[in-house]
Amino acid sequence: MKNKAILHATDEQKYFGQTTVYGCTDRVRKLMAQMHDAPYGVCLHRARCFTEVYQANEDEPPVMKKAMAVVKTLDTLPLLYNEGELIVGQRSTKLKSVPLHPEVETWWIMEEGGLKGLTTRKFSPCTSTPEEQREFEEEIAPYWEKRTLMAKFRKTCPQEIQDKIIGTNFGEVSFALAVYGTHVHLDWPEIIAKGTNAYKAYAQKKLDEHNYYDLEERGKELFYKAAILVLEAMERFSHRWAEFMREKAAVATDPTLKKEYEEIAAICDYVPHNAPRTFREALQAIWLVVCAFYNDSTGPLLAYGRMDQYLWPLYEKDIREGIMTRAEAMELLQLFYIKTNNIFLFADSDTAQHLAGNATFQNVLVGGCDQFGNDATNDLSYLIVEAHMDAHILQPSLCVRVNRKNPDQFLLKTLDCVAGGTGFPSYFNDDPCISVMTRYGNDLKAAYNYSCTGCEDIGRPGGFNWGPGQWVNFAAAAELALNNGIRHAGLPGRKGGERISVETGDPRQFKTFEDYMNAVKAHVAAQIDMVYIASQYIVATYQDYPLMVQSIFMNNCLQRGLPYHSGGARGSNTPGYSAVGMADVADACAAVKKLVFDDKVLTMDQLCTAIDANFEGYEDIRQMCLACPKWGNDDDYVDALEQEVIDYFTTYILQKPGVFCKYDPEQETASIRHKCGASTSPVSGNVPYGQGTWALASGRKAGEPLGDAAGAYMGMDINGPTAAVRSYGKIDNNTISGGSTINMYIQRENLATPEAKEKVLALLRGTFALGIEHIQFNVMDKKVLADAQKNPGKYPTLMVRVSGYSAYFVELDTSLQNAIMERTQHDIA
Amino acid sequence: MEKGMVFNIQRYSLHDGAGLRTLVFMKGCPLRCLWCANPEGQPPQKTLFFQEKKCCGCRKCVERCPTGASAERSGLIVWDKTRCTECMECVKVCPTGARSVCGREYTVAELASVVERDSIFYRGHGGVTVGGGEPLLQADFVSQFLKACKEEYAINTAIETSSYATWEKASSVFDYVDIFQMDIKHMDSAEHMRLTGVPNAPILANIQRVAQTYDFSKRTMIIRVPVIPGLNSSEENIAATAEFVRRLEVVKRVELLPYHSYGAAKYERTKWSGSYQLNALAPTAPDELMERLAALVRSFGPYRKDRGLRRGGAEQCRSPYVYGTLSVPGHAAPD
Repeated sequence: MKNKAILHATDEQKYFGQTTVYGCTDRVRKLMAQMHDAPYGVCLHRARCFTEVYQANEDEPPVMKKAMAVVKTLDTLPLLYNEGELIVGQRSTKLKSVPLHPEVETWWIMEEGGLKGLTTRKFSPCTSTPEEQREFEEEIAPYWEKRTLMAKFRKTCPQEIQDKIIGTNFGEVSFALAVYGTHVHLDWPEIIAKGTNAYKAYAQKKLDEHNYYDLEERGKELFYKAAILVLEAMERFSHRWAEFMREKAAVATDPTLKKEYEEIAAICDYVPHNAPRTFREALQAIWLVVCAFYNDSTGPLLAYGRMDQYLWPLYEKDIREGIMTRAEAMELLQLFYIKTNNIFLFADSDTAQHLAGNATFQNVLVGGCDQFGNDATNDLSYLIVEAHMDAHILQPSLCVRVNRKNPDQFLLKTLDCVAGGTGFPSYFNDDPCISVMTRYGNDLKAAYNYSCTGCEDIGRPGGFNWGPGQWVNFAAAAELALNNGIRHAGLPGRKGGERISVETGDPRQFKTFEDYMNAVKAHVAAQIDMVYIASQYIVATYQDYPLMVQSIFMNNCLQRGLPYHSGGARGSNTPGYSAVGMADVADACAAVKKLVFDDKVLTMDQLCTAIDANFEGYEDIRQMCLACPKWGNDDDYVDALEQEVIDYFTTYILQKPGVFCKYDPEQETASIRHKCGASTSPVSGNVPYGQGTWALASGRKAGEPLGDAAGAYMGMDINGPTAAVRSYGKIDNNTISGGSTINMYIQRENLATPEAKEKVLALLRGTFALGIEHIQFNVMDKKVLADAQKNPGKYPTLMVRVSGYSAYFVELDTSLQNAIMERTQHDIA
Repeated sequence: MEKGMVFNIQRYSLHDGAGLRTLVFMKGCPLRCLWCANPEGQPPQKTLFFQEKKCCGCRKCVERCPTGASAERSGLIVWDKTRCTECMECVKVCPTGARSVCGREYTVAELASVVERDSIFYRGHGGVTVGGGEPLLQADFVSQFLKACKEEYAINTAIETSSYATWEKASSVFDYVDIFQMDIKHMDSAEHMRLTGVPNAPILANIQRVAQTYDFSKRTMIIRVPVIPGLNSSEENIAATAEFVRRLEVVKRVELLPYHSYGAAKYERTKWSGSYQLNALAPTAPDELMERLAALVRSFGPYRKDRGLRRGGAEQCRSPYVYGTLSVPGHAAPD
């Protein structure tokens, strides 16, 4: 069979040249260290180009202005080569600097004190020189302040809604206005197979065939012209790199270096406009497209997808024909990985706190099945994992698809990677994921080929389902159900003591538990509704700044002649609602049910009074609450309540057409491809959301973090991981399109011997047999973490899994560090 | 219907047999080993378990206690064990679980259904391990339970036992055991009596009889020796143990379990265990001692002569040692 391993994993010794098994070459080590040491910074080049172009062309339609600005940016970007690189390309002028997107970012940069304020902020600080700060504040920000997405949103979205869902930890939308163009998965298989000139030819054909007499088609010719401009600029960009490297070769005295530079130049002259001919050319092609992408969109969350599948033909050919050794391929992969660390999270503090750490979820996915549903692992799948094991670097994010037909040998190899403790990889379960894909309007073959973006959102390459994510606070729903929709006065942020949700009545009048549950559901629905309305206005602001690169390389934009957010998207479940506080709502419901309605040991009044006081003076009541059944212990009493809430959530969401729907002329409003999306992966949102949620009947006090992702509340899963996943398996993962995050914490010695690893494998397989969508392992050593908290300088590269992604532990805020350390470690004593 | 008294059930156990296992701790033990890490498991009846650090000082137990065993002294809630009749009234009102009942009865069906919950993780070689306390003390129940596990649920069964019982009782349980984990605490009878409170003759006899009775091409025997420095750690004793084991010809491996004092804190929390006797020992057995004894035991190998249709070879007969793990086999979690 075509995809089978041609080099058995144990043959690697033979092919590894001068490197030891899983070792790094000196070149890789040096560039990795350089990347680690580089400070996070900013680059004003794109901002300058955009300001100039937009000021000079105010009358041009949005799509043309955008294209012209991107063209100017790429045509004039100063180039930077880092000694030793074999894959070249920078999106900005400094090693680890973000090209500023003033049309998106100006509002929060200025609110946080300008670029200067960002240097000292708590979450994701970013350096800049005084000159850069001055230039941004005086020459760039003034033009853009009123023109950002947020500025328009603030003017158009009803104030009443803005008041309730901004700064209240109740719903939330600023993420989609602080960054723009997230959860993207370009059609890499096509780009690699055909080259970007194929897209140009296609756009040209559509332009030539454009029917100017059809009013429905009006305006589309502009989009094609704009697309062609951008594609031509991308080709010129590559040639600029080629020329740049040729000049370096001309003055190089070392013959080895000279040859290296010339090789790089030849490759840049050829890709990505032509289809790559070798594995190395493919990696270079991907990277040059990425550089262009980030000068158009902010990202983040751009995925690379199933590299072991779409790069396999080139890899296999190169090895077979002796063009490349396995060791060289390993080195190239690691060099590519290093480049991805160029990209980091750059967003407002709120978002930065929710996505703590600087990762941007650049997912590389291996494993899974082929178009017939059979095992698709091959030697490249193993190599990609091995390359990760020694590249102790934050990105990319390694993900593994686990199919029932994937061999244990492959999974055991991925567990070796987990043993390294970086939090990679995370695991996707093919069964529920494929089911979700077909449920969301994809035919079976496309479903088999699913890929992932973000923490664990799933969709198809080039046709992603998940739209800008918003949060739904389940814990707040439980709280507000006891407070008739009024936000507690003691909470930070806005609207303390005021109504932020619907009226559900005085809980003391509830006659049965169902009354309480219905109130909880009402508050969940209220958030969904408000976010939904807000999303309409968000998408309206997107119309001013069409995303060109994303639109070119994602379906069905060129086919329809519409930018991605203007109806070009093939299917997008937007808004995508991400639930936070899953454990909290289940635990709170269980306590209310047991104490007030079943055992009747407390009146509702007693419970409400204690909660209102944040349990101060009511410690015995709090203990009673804590003693109630908890999510994550395989206890049907509380698990059934979680099932009910999640089922309500996913059903309610699916009733609504997605916000792109009305722009899509081909689809009926009922099409599920355009329904909203549901997920239970709040990344690190459990900490900031906890700060804005009052005490709960689960026994949790006000301000404490909420439960971590879809798992048990920290420390409450006391029956071991098997009991925990049995709980998690009771919700229907087939309905969750945006993925569901389960974090599992195990000790390093659980992966130290083959016998021990086999047991973790049993846990993984058993978990997936229960239908759980996603799981990730965090190998923890509490002593090390405690030490790292005190002496961060000792552990610059210590990585932990947060929730769907990994982050450098020492870069995390203390409260999140503490929350991570508190998570239950499973071992028997 | 026979019921069994259980004091803990621990899922996802990694060190008590092959694969992932659910560990069932049976309450009651005829031995009183000085180093016992599960003292709350020694009395066969339900007992009171008091954890001071969980106490929130609400005084509900003081109000409720009919004998004054729960009292307040200098602002702290204390437990006067001499007055306590273990009527368990205080448990009913304790909100934090600081006072709890240790011991719960299960029918065979109830216990089997708990174990069955993790069957998706057993993958053929994981399963249930019955330990405690001493499972043979409730032989009738345990035998029915293991029979149900094997015949109704096809779950692999393991036991952790002192082997101290009549053969009649012991064999009724052993008939349904796949993996035998049997302790040998000391080869000298007088010393054994001093350290555990019972003679070792019935134990050694049972172990020998098991080796001769059951087919160890299909079952597994593992001998465990808790190494208590200064009490049973002499080379003479360990050598004698190794020789005894060698003569059985069926043992897959010998496990030397390093002493630890993690259970010492629990002595305070139960009424019947007296005070911990081994405070003079260091909290864990030194690595150097363990390595030396491991080498000694290794030198007596191989322990297992091949029988039946297993594929032979020197590797099959070697006996690897397991010791020095941070987690403790057979140790019920302290709080």
